[in-house]
Amino acid sequence: MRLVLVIALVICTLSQPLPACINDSATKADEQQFASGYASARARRAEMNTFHPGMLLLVLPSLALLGVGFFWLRQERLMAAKRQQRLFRQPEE
Amino acid sequence: MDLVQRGLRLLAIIVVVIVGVGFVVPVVTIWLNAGRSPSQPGRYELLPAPWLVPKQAGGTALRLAMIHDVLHERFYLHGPAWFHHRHQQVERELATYDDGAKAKDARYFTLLDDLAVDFDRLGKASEGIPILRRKLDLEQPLGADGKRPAPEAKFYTTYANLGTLLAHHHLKGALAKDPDALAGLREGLAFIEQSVAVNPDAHFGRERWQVVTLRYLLRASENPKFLTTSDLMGVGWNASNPTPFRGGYPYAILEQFRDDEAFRHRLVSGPREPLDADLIGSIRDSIPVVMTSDQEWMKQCGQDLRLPFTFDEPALAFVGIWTLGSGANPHFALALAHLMDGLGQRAIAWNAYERTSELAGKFWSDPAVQQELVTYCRDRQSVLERLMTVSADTLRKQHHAELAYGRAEQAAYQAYEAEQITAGKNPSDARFYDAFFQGRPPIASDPGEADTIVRELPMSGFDLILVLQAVLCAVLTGLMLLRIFSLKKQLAS
Repeated sequence: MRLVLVIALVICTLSQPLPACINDSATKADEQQFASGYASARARRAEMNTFHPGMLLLVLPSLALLGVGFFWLRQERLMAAKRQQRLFRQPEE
Repeated sequence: MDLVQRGLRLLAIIVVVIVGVGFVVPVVTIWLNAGRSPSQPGRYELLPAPWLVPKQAGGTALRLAMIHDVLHERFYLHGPAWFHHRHQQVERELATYDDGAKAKDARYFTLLDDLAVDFDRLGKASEGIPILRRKLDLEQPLGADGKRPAPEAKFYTTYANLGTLLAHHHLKGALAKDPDALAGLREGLAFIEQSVAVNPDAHFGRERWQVVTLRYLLRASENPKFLTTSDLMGVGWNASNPTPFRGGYPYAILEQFRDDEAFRHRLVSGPREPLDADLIGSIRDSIPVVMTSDQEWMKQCGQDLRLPFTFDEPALAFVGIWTLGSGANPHFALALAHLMDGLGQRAIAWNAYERTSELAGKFWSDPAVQQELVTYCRDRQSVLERLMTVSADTLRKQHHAELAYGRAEQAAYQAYEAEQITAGKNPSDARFYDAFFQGRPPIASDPGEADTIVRELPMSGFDLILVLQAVLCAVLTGLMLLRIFSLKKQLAS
């Protein structure tokens, strides 16, 4: 019985994969050929810190506010000038 | 007067709306970016992963795509025709040494290695063993006391090849507990251990892992339960996080490695400068390590390894043995699955579990162990499918298609070799493979951005502008509203 089990186990393990580490004249070249398939990407600059032009839209409200502010100041100056003109004219009347 | 007041009210509304948008939009944008970081561009940058710096200059650095490709047989390997041809050539060249006119030089010993390896690759390891024993006798003859001199680094290939061929020849019998085969395997293991001792970092430490694998299989033959509790790296089945990221990356050095061509070349290809040792040390210290947890494994298999080891060491070894040695192996596939699973490389991990299941018949002779392995792989795969939100069918179809492509390419390569050799072409001719590779897409898959790490940026210049804009809007609004109210007051009085 034990003999049968041993034989069965030997037969079953015939397909057991074998770890291998061979050193022959082709090993280095084969290693290099395998690694060279990935060499070009090694030097690639991996960067995704990109700027989207659409992001500039975010500063539009500020620019609009500055525009309004500028217009406001201009109007204030004009009104002040007109008020002064009126003040200067009053004594002559 | 009423018209002026209405005008002022309208102006106030416009200002508030503009300012509201000007204040709220940037604040919300920054908040959202911060919340979803690092998925938003501009909030992060990619740096090379630390495992892209090889242990030794000129050594192979791991790319995760290599693991994907090995699992799908996407690499070329010589066919029987190539080995037959070399065998004949080697025999012819060795014959020139036979008459004794030519001194046995370094070339002679290289030819002996080739002759023995050819026998091994053609499935006749037993015929290669005497050749390597003869080589060893010539290199290190036995002394008068019957002992061989101490091992030397220059005879490394003899120890490694003899050990490997002995292991190939005796492993099957040893696993069946045949005493002669066990003795043969132990002798082979001792030779491989000797090769590691004299040349520890040859082939990125591949032999080291060959030793571990043989010890693991020997241990499993004594205690088969060992197979289903830990893989050959000592990582337990169902380990929660076998390869944790360590963090603490040396960002400045990695940035230089990315941007400085000369620096990168020096670290990768050499020659390295003495001061580089510290830089390389700090880079490689940040590579995720493998958390071996099995005490039995540590005692029986990994006793001479420095624990914990970085994940790229076994990964490169398994890739090397698979591509240049024994081919597909379920033990390596399972170990690679655990490594990729731990690193969060879900797609590669899924494929590795799939390949392990496909190779289950070669895992162990006991069908119950094979079934346990398949069940374990399916369980892990279903977790990964949920995380990837991709169905098993889709993934399996992709896997089979890619595996079929890899096998077809290998077959085409070997058929081409056979055809050319029959036509009288010499494989050592530099242009031998030109016609095969012409117009053929590369077999290696694109590494993509898998070998990068993400660095979150503290605050970009654009974010700063948005913050300043929000502050400016708030101040201007305040000033304008004050002015509007004061005008309204003047008008009212």
